[in-house]
Amino acid sequence: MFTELNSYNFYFIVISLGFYYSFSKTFVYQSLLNLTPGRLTSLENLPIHLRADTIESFSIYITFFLCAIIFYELYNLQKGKITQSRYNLRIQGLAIVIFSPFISYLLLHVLWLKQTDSSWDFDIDFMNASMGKPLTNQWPFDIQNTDPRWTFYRVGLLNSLRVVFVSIILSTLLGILIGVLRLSSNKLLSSLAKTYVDLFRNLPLLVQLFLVSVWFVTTLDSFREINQNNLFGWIFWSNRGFVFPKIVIEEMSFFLAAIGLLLFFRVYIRFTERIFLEKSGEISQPSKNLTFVSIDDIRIIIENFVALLKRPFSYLDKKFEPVISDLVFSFSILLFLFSMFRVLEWNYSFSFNGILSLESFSILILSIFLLIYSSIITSNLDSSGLNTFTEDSTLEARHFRMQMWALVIFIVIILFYLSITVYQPNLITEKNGQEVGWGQWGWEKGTFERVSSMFLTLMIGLTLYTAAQIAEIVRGSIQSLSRGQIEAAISIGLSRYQRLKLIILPLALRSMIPSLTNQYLNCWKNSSLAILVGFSDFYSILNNIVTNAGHAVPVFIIVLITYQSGSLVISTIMNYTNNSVTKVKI
Amino acid sequence: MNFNLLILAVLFFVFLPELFKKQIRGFQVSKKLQKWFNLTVLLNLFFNKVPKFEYNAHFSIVLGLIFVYFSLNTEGVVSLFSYAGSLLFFVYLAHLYSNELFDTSWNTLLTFFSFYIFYSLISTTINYFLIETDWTMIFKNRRLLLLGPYFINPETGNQVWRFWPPFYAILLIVCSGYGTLGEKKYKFLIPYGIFSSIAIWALVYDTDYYSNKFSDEISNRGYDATESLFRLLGGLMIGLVSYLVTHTYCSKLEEYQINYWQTVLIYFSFFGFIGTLLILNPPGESGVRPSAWGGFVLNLIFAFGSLFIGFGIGIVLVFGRRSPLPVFYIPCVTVIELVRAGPLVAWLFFAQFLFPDLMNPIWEADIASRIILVFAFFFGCYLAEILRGGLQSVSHGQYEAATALGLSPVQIKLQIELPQAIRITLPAIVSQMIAMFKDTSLVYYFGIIDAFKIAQDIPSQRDFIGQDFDALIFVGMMFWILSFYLSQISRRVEKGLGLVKEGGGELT
Repeated sequence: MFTELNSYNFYFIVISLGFYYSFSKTFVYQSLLNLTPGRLTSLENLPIHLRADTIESFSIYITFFLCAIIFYELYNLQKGKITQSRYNLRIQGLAIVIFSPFISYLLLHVLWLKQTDSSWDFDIDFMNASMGKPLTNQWPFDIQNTDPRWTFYRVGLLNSLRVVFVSIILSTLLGILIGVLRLSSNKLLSSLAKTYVDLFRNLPLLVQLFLVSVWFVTTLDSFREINQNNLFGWIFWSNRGFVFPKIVIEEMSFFLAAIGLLLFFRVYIRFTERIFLEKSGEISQPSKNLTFVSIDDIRIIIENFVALLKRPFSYLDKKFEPVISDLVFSFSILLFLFSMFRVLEWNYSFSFNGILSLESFSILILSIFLLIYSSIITSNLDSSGLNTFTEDSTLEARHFRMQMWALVIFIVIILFYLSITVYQPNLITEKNGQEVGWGQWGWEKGTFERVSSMFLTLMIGLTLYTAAQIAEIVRGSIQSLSRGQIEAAISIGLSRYQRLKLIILPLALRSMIPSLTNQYLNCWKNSSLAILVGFSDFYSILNNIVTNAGHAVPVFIIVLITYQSGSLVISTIMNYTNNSVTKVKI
Repeated sequence: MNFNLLILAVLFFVFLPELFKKQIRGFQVSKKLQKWFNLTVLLNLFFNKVPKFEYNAHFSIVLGLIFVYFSLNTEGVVSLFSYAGSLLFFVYLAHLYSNELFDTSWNTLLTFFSFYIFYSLISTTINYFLIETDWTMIFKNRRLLLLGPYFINPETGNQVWRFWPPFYAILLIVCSGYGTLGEKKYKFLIPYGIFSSIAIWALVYDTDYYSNKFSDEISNRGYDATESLFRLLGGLMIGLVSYLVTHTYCSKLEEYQINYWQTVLIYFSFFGFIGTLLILNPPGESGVRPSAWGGFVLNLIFAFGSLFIGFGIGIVLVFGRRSPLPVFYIPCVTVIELVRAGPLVAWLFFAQFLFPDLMNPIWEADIASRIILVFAFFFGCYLAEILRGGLQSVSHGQYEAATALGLSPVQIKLQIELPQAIRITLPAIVSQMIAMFKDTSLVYYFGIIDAFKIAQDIPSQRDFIGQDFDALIFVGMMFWILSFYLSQISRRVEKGLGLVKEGGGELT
């Protein structure tokens, strides 16, 4: 640390060691206090017996000893004449010695807290007990008060995911729109966008959420006037939220038939429009001939096996291989929908007792694997050139295609009409045949879907705030593009919109994605502000659990783990997007 | 005013021909009539004779806003005339920029659309802020909003003298900072004059203070405005004098010397902050304990505390993370990833409930001190990530040259790598600072009486029931003004450092 030991350095070390001594003496004292017998039950079998009246002097001795070691080490290290690796080891040892009082205090104190304070107990059995507290947002679950706390946690997690998912999508669209508007040549429009960004970027998110919630409460009428506040009796709004009609798929077979028809039509179109160039369909064969088995050939066998996995239908003719893979993809989508509806039972009462029956859930997992696998096969086919298409633009071909599309869409509409039922929300104003006051009005079960005003508050607040940040990022990344690209786009005669869509935004995406990832993570973590608005996302549910049952530390660890997992999922998706966007080197 | 009819009329008579003149083939319009179909030419006909000064656009905007205000405030014929007048000024503004606004028909449509939105926004804002809302609630409670209930209370309110030395220090630092910039004097003196007059007026005007506790008397609650007035005047004089002195001194200096004095100012502000904390709560019995602090100054204390302490923590963490030795980088990585895993609300929860359990035998910390520590750690970890990217962009040649010159590792880190990294990542650092300042509003949930909590409590006073929205908007505006000011400063600093690249913006 110091290149030479003169008197200035010497006094500096001595004075700083003096501060260190006075600071760490209390830590050493506390650690020794925890080592006295009768204090920590988990350390009863230690051979150390410290009497309670000796720890005061012991702490002085030990701290002084530590300071002496540190001084000696520093003096030795300054002399030089040691190799770099030895220096590294010694300085790491010195760091451990310097921090040993604090580390030991932390460990022993946490052990002591674990046995005395209930909030530091690392057990999570309490999560299986019932909670006994109602939520504000329960869709699509039917929660009873007697359900275990894990159920509440899952409901809250689903609520958070819903809000964050919708907010991220909407804010990206809005942010890109406003960021591009900011650069418009129309001075009025760009000032409008600048006003939006400056306003919503500099207001705290909390203030925005409160303003939106107050606005909701004051603008929307109370539930009493529900009969005047509706859209032809189908959509109702009040200060309790919005009520939408319920869409139920009654006949699963017709619905799946419609989806299947669309998918197979897609396969058919791809089959008719596919063209085969010279080099398409080539597989990089590692080796074809196996004359005798040896270690080298085991590697060849494995490579052949992996190549077969990548394109399992490669033994077929070039014409049929992509068709078969498209068919497998369509089949996997249908299987996924089928098993998903079986799992959810499509009636929005997600009771946790019987849904996880092995059959439908395992088919769901199988369909997800099949979906991922078929997409990998299709992308392998794309990269080998088998999926190039051409469009026949003669008049007869276009007429034929239009007729086929019309026929397919007609059949699909009929099938949808047969399979889907839309229920109108039914307001029940009487109980046992008697008219009751508006405080007791309710909606008939099974006819409505509710979107609460708290969900809307959080979603609108998060969207506006994140959109302003994204607009700034978009503006910055577009401004950092090179002018040459845009001038070239102008010179080949692209219109403004084509310029934006084909040249500017794809180029700007390359530099935008890390900052966008950051904003999405911020949006995910800002959803914790739901606790201040009254929306039951998982952070507020866990907060309720802590105030109800104590056990703060395990709950805190669950909070951190959940947020970290969500951040990892978002980062992985954005990393994948980043890699696919930056495949081409500029 | 039926604005919609006017828009429809304009659309019908002016814009539609613009659309149709391209579609109608074989329909020859006379040359004279064609002139009317072009908005630029039309406006030119009317406004050709107006002489052009340098500030034409600014004057027309200001006058247009004044006329909008009058149109909303009065009634009848006067309102109609001022409405027409405001429209006249805005149309003149359109004439000044008519080349950009009206060149294609799509542009014209966008211009009308956005002008409609703008006009509605402006009239709603002016109506809300200047005409409709009764701001007496905020005005009566201005000291409460600023200082918190402890310093307003007549029994303990005499401790408010502790805030004046930090106020002097802040004015000194800020005005000297402006002085070192070397701009023309009026650019600082005019806003400073406006600020001083508003401050003096707010201090002196109506000191009758009203509160729920003393509901039967309106009194000034033991608050003597004259003493504060003298102190305020003294502070403003100090600011003015420091600006003039630094301005005259720095106008003769080279740039590197000015940079040196600016660094001195930054160090001085750091020690000033520590001095503030010591003045407010000196060790010992006298002083105000941190749980009694409140108001907007509490938000400022949290923000600055997290900035200064967090900077130290962040620098330690980032250099620890970059070290090749496991004993240093493993704990640093753990701490950074752990702190960044959770939202700020979760860490404040930690500060409220779990931190006292950990530290109580050694340090009985107040809730405010715990929160400053947590804010500092949070900002420090984010800063560590930002600086890590910046340090990676510093070229390795700098490190090699510094080693060749014989600098020790500590000197290399602090004097070579860190300044370059901060210069590269300055926009991200400043935006994170502004975000921390805005996040200080979250503390109200933990029982701390900051400006936001007071804004929620003020409407429960007897005279002001039902005005929740106004108090929230006012506090939001307070935060907004400060954040906006800081972001403008950051833009200036970036421009000064040459970090702004304007590539494809104009052409897009």
